[in-house]
Amino acid sequence: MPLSAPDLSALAARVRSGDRAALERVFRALHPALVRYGQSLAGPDAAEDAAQEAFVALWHRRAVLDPDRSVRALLYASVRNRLLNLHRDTARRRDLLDAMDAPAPPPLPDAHAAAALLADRVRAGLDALPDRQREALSLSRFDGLAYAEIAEIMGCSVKTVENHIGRALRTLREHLGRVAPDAL
Amino acid sequence: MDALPPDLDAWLGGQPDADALRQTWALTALAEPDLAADTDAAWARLAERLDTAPRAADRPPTRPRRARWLAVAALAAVALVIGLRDVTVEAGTGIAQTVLPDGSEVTLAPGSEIAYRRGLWGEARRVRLDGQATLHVRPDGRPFRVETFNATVEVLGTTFDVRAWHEALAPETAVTLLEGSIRLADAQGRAVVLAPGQSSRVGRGAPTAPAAADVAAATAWRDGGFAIADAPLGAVARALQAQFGRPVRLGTRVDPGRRLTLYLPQADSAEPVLRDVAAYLDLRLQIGPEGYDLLAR
Repeated sequence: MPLSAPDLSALAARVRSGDRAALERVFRALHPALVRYGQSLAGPDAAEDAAQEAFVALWHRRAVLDPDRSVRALLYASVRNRLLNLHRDTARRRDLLDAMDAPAPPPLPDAHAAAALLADRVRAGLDALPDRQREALSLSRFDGLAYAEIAEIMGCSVKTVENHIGRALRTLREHLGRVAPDAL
Repeated sequence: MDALPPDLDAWLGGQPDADALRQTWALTALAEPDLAADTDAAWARLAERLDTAPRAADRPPTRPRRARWLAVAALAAVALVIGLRDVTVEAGTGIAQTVLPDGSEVTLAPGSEIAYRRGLWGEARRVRLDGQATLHVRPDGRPFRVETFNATVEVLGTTFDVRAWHEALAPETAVTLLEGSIRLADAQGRAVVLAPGQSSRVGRGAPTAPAAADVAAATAWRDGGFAIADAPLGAVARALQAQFGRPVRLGTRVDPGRRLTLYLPQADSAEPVLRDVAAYLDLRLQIGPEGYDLLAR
């Protein structure tokens, strides 16, 4: 994470006063992660658009931003709300077609094959989790968000986030115990 | 960085299967989806929208799907050291600071990366650096080694700066010693010992003889300036690209090995630095939407 939470809130204060350079820094720090998060909810193109819209909205509403709220949570929530309002199925179907056109990955060297296999199994375990558990775990694990921010984004209590992540880890543990006992 | 988030750590404290869940948490690193969105292009699109209509309703064109295999290769590299996990600290376009498990402090220049193996920290202290960093090593009797792509710096309690951009055209490792004592060796073991205020470089040959260095210039990057002492143009281009986040390219007729010394106490963008470089080396600077090109006249 290139920017810490205090760095971000200092930048958010500058964005509020109309500083475009500060907006650019927030954008560069968060845009890749926001697009990735969006892709977990919808297709890549919709995710990219939602991330753009989130920043446009942030910029247009900068004057009325609440200084006490996490700008990170705000942007994630904005991406989420936009994508959950979309027709998810259409987006997913288009992605599947896109995926069939994508070039196949080159074969990995032998030494890497076992490791890649384990990575596949962990990924499959994550994919098998209930949506909200996977979402909470990913936001904590891959986006480095605090539980309070995740709660704000997902519209639930911190306690619920804690439960989602705890359950997700236990389910994943069981899954790996079955498919990859050597890794544990 | 792979520290447990405080929220999770607090919750795990009360769980009977905490260790198992901690390990599962560590394994999830393998499944991290890649982050390779094209930020430059996306920012250019956003900037254009903010400049034009405040309520533009038109959809921007979609971008092509990116290749996934790079991410797969990266995951595989992480997976090989599971159980002995590599800890990696990266600086984005800003400066990053970190404290190593032994209490030594590292300040990382933009775009740089330092990695170490947590499990091996017991007997020897070893870190691997790509980019530039100033290290303040805590003396504790154990050797401390910084490995770069082509050299090793060995230390006993000291402060020094290492510049080792691996991908830079004309790559080299340059070390400037601020205080204490260090030994710099190339891959064949040919070594020099540096005294405070001296620097030495490892390029293709053995380490150069230690010579008096401009310490302030060698570490100016830490205070938001841009300075580079007696460095090849290729390394300058790489460092500017890392610090300001825009590509800096050299024309085919420009020699990346030409050396220069440059010192700007304040630098907010790559442009003034590149103008100076161009003037100094008698090159032509071309500024385009996709970055900067330094071209022969």
